[in-house]
Amino acid sequence: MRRAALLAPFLLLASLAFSQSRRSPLDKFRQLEEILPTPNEYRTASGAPGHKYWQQRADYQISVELDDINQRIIGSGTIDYHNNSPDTLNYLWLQLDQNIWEKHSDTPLTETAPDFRRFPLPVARRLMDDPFEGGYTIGPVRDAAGRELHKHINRTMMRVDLPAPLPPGQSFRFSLSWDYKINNSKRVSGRTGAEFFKKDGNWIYEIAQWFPRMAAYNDVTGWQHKQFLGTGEFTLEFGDYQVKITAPNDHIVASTGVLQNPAEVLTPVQRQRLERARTSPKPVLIVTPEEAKAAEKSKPTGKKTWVFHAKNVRDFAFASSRKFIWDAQGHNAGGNPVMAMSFYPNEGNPLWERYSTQAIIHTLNIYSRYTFQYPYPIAISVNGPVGGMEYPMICFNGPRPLEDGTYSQRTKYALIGVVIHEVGHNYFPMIVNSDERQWTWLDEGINSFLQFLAEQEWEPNYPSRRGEPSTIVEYMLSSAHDPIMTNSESVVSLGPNAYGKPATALNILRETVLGRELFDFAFKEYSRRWMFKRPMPADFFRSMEDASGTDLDWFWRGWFYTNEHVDISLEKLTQYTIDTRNPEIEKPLSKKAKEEAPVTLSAQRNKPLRKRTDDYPELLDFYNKWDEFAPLPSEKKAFESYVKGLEEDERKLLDPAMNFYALELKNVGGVVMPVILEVEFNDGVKEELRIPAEIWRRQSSTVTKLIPTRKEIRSITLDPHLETADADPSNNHWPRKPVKSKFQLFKEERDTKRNPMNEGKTDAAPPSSGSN
Amino acid sequence: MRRLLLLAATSSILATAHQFHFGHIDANWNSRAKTLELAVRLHADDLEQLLRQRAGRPLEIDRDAQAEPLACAYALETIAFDESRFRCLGMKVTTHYATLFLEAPAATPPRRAKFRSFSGDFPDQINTVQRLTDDHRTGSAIAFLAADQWKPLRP
Ligand SMILES: [Zn+2]
Repeated sequence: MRRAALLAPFLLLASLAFSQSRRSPLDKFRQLEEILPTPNEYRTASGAPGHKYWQQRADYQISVELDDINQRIIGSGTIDYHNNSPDTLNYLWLQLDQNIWEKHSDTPLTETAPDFRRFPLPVARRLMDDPFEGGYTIGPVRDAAGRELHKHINRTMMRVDLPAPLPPGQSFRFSLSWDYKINNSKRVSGRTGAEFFKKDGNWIYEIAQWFPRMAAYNDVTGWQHKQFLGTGEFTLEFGDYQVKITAPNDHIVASTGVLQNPAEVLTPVQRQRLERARTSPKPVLIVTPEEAKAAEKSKPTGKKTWVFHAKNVRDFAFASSRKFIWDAQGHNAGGNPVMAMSFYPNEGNPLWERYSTQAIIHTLNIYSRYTFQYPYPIAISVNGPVGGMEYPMICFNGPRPLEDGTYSQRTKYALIGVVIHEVGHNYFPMIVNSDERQWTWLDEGINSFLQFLAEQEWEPNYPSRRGEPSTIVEYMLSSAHDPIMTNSESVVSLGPNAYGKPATALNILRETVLGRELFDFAFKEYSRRWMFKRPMPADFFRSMEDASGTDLDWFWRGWFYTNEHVDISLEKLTQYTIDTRNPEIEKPLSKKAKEEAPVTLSAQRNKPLRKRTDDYPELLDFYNKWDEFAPLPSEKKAFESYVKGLEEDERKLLDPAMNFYALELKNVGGVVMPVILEVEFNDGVKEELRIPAEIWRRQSSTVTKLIPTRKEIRSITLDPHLETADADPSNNHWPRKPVKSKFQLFKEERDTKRNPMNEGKTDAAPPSSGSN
Repeated sequence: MRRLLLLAATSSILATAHQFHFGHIDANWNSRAKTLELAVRLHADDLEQLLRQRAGRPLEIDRDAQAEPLACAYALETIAFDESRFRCLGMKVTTHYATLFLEAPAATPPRRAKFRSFSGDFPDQINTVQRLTDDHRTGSAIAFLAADQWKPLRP
């Protein structure tokens, strides 16, 4: 404890607040303007689309046949491309994603060697005797008058040269045909493919990236025609789609868009069931498990053409199989009627019938609450070969029970989690149309964040993978930690970088920095501003600040532009009390302090020795008898005149019971963060102190916080609710507390398990969870 | 010349949409017991996939008695610290992670390590090792990329 004289009462506070060492050279609160792109008429400084914002548009009319004998796609179509840009275009670029499976594709060429100790059979087969020869065969490209246009295929991109430059505001219509071999997912996996079921000889097709798609052209990147290598996702333009899908006549087709000809492709019973599903409070089976089972044995007697229309979507995908069970439930998404539907084989049950459609509707409810009303009439989840992938109105999800129909707890949560995630992608990036190839985090991070919110409203203590701050600490501590604002192609580990860390950052922004009300308002504003438009990262950063009225540049800087981590350390706590200068108070205190001071070893041993003054008491004089702690009249007088000189409110400050604690905080990790303290006083009462991150604004490496209190502090805990991703819990306590390691905890747990009393109890435990 | 062991499994060369290929070890040198204690955290999905290949059947790691010994064997194959001979104490599985606990006698803190779990399966696999002495971190975590073999653990 230290005693501070109150000569100039405010000097004490001031000197504590500024008793900081040298400033660090980098200002962590410096504004981001020098890094963010300059605002313009397309994108404003407040993060909204500008008054001249534009985007291209492409409308498609496609006829496609699914060849179930040879696993091929045969398509032809017409594209109307609308040039809404201020630029005149001489050529158009289209994406040919299937060409990653073309013989001379870059994808196998850039593959690195597999682990030779565990050489995967499919790789060997592909390399040795049965290479998969996919890739597009593209027929002639013709304009509306039937003239052939010059085209050039550059691996996964195709340039179509226009017969005349296309000026702003004009449209161009052209047609083309194509076909390709569908990849067998067991051998070559991807975001699309076919799965073969040996025991009944049938296939499930999940068909995506299956037609030449217009590359995006925008105000920030121009043509986005980065080659597709199999990992980066897409950037696409909105448009209307009219698609005719021809499949064997015993297939059930699930697709983006609204079915236009149910009378031609569905039975009267199926149509009746669909009608019933519209208003049913539970999923209704349109095709029952028994009917799907029977269809597995059927042989097609011909073909059927399913016609789907989709308005204002950026892509189109479908699935087809005779193995599909189909369930549906109508849902009112804030005034917009939606059919939530699931398609899955018998192999997906009992998981799929229980969870898929329920998870779709749950996602629509939660996501719509935080963003905008779901605008599409359809939301579909399909089980097939693809582990988890999103397209407008439809997504593919992999988890299935074991063959015996039982499933583990992990599989159950994997299914619920992936359905929420993939259906959630309808919002980001299918509607808020960010550029996935450039900035994966802008859809995956935001979607993972919302997935966390939706999961936490599914059931109590839902085991979410991402969202809680503690889940990202190990990644942030590692040397593989890249800033989130790194181009997707260059990120070393995309999972934690583009999904986990931004999800955590947004959760912290919501819970700790802004609070739920401000965050939710700003986040909704961003979502609405960019609905059916194409935002860039700066539009997100600016919108969140603009709508929350909070300067968050320090937050974006720390969490999105650096690879630093969070670690604040409670370095030391110093106690100060007021020197009242009142001898009646101060002298007894000094006496007490002297009495409480430790007695040295020599003094202890010398104490019993007989002293000379014992034998010659005449040697004792005034100073031996004087009580140095008794207030002298002169001291009392001096105090009285001191008090007289003070103003009334200044006198009140001479309170001997007042404590001033100086808490020294060190920023070990680098990221500046709010300081959350739980202070426990001697009487057992706990108080929480939530200090904004701006405490670091003048000095970002060490600061001292003053805590004035009439009570004495017993202990302090930093980040008591584990909300800041603080990496090192061992420096989060005053006084310091040992923190148990995972290893120690495991050993202790194992030792208690061996305790016979405990074993007796576990005998009666229910059988392992998860099995149905 | 080496001989290739062919394993029936889905090709993992082409990554699916949601990759999260990240492993982590807390490597604590216990100065009193003179032991090296490893808590090895792997993604449960990846580990389950791998153990299915090894067991040749659709095993689930959170409810299959064979999972722990197989997982321990895999950890001992792909993880090394100096010449330490580890004993596998067990595995703990949660919804998303599997954590394996290994222990070895060690007179001094480890000098070098190898952490190649899933390094041959995913080109973007990253494994990190956090060194600790008596449960206190010493330095930042060291990252092992897919191509990395032995790496020094700087003091
Ligand atoms: Zn995703």
